[in-house]
Amino acid sequence: MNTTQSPPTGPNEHRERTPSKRCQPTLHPSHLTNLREALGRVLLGKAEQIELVIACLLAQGHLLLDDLPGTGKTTLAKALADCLGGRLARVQCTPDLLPTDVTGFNLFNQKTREFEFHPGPVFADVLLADELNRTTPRTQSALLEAMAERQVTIDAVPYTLSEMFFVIATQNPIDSHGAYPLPEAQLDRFAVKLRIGYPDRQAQIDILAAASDPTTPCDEKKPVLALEELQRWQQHVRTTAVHPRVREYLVDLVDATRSDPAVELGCSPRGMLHWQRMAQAWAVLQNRDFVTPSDVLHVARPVLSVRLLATSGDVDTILDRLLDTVPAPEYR
Amino acid sequence: MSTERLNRRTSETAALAMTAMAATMWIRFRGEASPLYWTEWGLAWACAILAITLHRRISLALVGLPVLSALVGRLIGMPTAVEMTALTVLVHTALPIALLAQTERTRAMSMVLSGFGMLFVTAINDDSRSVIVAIVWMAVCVWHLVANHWEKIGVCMPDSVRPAFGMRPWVVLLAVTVCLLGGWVVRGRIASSYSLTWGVMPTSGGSKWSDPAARSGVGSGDAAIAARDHAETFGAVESDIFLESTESSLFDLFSDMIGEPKKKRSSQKAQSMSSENLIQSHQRKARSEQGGGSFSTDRMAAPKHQHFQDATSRAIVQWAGPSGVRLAMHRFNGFDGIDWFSTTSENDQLLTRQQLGQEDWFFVPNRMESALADPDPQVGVVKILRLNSARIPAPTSSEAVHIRDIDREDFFALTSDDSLTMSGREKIPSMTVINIASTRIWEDDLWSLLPAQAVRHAESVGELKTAETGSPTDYGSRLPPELDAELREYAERITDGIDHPYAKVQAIVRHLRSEFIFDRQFSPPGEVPIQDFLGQRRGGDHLFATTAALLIRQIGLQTRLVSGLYVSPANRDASAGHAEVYPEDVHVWAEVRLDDQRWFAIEPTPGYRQPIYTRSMVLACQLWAADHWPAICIAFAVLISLWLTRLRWFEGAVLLIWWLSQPLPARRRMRLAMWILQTRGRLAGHPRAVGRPQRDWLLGLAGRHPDLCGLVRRVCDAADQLAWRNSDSYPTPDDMSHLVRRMPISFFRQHPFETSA
Repeated sequence: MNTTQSPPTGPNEHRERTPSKRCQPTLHPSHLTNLREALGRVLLGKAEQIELVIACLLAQGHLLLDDLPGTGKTTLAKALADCLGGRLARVQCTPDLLPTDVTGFNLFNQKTREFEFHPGPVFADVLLADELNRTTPRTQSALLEAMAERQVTIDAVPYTLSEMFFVIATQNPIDSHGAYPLPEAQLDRFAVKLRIGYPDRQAQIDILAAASDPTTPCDEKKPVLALEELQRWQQHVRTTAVHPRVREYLVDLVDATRSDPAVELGCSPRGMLHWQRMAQAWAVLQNRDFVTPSDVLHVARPVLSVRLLATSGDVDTILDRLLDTVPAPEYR
Repeated sequence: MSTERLNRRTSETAALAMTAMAATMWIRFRGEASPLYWTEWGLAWACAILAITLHRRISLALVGLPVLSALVGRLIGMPTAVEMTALTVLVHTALPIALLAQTERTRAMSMVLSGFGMLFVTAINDDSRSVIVAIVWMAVCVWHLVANHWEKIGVCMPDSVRPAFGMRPWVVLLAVTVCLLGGWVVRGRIASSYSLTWGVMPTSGGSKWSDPAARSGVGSGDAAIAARDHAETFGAVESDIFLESTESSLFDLFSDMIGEPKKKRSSQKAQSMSSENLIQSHQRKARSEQGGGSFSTDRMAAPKHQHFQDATSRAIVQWAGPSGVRLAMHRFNGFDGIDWFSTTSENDQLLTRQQLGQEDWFFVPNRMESALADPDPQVGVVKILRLNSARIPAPTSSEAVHIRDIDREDFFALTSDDSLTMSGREKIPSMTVINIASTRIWEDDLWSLLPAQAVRHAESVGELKTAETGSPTDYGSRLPPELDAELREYAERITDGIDHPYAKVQAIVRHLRSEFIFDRQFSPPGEVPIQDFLGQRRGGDHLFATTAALLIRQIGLQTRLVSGLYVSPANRDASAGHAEVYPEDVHVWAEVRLDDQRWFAIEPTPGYRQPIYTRSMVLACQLWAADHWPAICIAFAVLISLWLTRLRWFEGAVLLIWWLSQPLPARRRMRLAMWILQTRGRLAGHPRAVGRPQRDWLLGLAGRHPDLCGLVRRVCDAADQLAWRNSDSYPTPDDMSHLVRRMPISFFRQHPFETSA
């Protein structure tokens, strides 16, 4: 069981929630920039992916990384948890992982003669679930249910999860032996699917240089973005203005994904909501308080690639065709 | 207003208007089924459909469309009747009114227009099936009125009353049935005229709706039509149908006014007696009974007068067919300097009988195959009224004749000089109606079938005399030599510089028509009238025709003189559809022979309409091109240069439009700028993909130019704020102008592949 222990929390212990105020003057875009820089230091040459990760974070969605081993997934999760001042939990999903290993369990304490609750890794702030497709469907569903509802029920007692509970799940596209691939209905719960990929040449050189540089400070654990501020940012994203025509464009795109003959399973309404939230998050990251069709298109690929099922062929080519044929709203 | 759905009233009124349009299309089809007709009506229907589906104001184009097509028709030589154009405009106006009406009254005006048009068109349509369209219109109109009534009631109805929708179709059905019954009652009147046996309406005579002689009211019209429709009118028939002669003797006048003396029943034997037994007084009595020297009081009742009171009483014949036509009766091909005569003396040929449908037609022997092969012969009808001749006045290229109920070949013959005649009798009986079919001669034939004959007259006269078969073609070489030489020199002078024989013929005819004066009263003083005519330059039409025939002979073509009647366009009665020929319309003209042994008429006399030989489209285009080739070349060159520089023109137009759009509000200007950029991209062959937002597209194009990139970014940011945030920040006009100027079509051409933004 590869879990890290966390300080025990009792049942139904709610964290303090700062009341969400819309006109909060304490939104500092500079903090987002710092977050970007901090993540950029650990993941060199991947500015776009980092931006999408931050957008996913702001959109309160969960991230699925479909990536080869050794590309920096754990580093990213760790750095993210550090920047947010939160706790990172990591679960290595093997076929013999039990659901209680993920959620936590009640253990009988001989001394106090009571059942003690030992919380599982889901009670962390950032959870990295490695190779989610290697564990049994029962464990998968336990985690996904926790993702969706933000609470777990153990022995009929509900426990609420962290406010900024953010899951980064990974899948290895290469070996599929002995794997339980996530069904599409479950994949739909993720907001985006990203592929980090190998860094480019210059970035690799820089990585090597940084690794062998004695002057590099390691393990900076300075939080960049406070949790409350993150919540305020998430609230701001939720209330970002979406013009009706942009909304219609989004719906047109979703309809196109459903009606295309090469697509077996199109975008669901949940996916549509995720899409809109991601577009809003992207607009906020561009320092705008309104969503443009470009934002919708920009996040289309990550959002759709996790939930679109093609009858034949590559999802990417289908997406290229789809996104080119649906008419974008023009300036009026 | 443009694309909203039509409500019920508008759609029904528009349907009525379109029904009236369909009926007008039907009635015009009879007269003019030509490409212009189809083009005009195709455009009209397309306009109507577009107006209904797209934008209602398109229907306004319908009003001007018939006028435009009439003008075009006149330009290309296929004119339409002015009345038809006016009628079409009237009917077309109903549809725009229906579609664009704002009030009920205005919409009702459309119904009135289409109703009137419908009624009128159905009334004048010869085809009995056009009543169906009128019935359709009426059914839709009844439906519409019933629906309006129900709507009005429906507004005031209490809620407890439910409208029974099923009643409306029954009402319409009842109305249609009533009208159909009414139509059935008068069904005989639709196709032809029969007296109503119930005596409901008096007949006014006439089998078709318009008949030449059916204008005189009750009684005499029927008799005239009986004479026209039935063949027993010639030969021994009721003599009271014949017109009395205008030069009647006294005996005749008494018979007309008071009555004819009774014939004595008692028989008297005549016995020759010797002269000493003869009593003088008895001789005189015998004479005076017949000669009008005596007046008998013992008379029978006066016969009914069969004068046509209002029919013009001087007409010799009546002709139903195209006017400006010459009806030939006698042909002469020999000329000896003073007199024309016919040099052929063969016997009359019988015509070949051929049954076509229910009718027996008699064809000129050599021309039957070609006449039957002609798809579009022109049939004219001549009614003989006061002509004392056995020859049938027929147009030049007549091929076949037909009289109703006549099927014996020995009624007709072709004389040796190529004229149709009714053989074996002194004259054609009055009121005979003869149908004559003639083929059309195309101007193409005139241009193509003459060259072979363009040989010098002097060289070939010997061979031609013997080699010709068929029609008599003797040149009549008995012309005195000095006259011959004078004519030859004159002909050469007129046709100097012209190659084609038909062009020479045209030059001769034009010369005669323009340089000489037509004067029937002029009598040439000298011996040889032709020389006087050439010197004085005035004379009667016989001199014109003679001169023309002789001059054309000088250029190598065969001609002959024709005498007959001329149907003057001034005497045409358009409402009755026929023309009258008066004694002063007797006329003389000439005919020229084509290669295929047909003859075509020429009219050298000024004041008489020249024969119309229609050009086929090919010939018309060729001649027009030959006349206007410099203009065509210049226009072509201009068009090519315009095409090559079309993009520059577009750019110039765009900049002009941009400059002119300064007073527009900023939002519209921004849209205009975007439209300009997108059109440039499309014209350059690299259009914006539909799914690509404009911002991304522009940034992608400007990616390599940092200053342009900044400009585009500024403009697009402001446009984003404006479009997706509804704020009032517009891109500045300067920025937009810079953008429009800095991205011309050449820019789009050079940067086909966008960089990622």
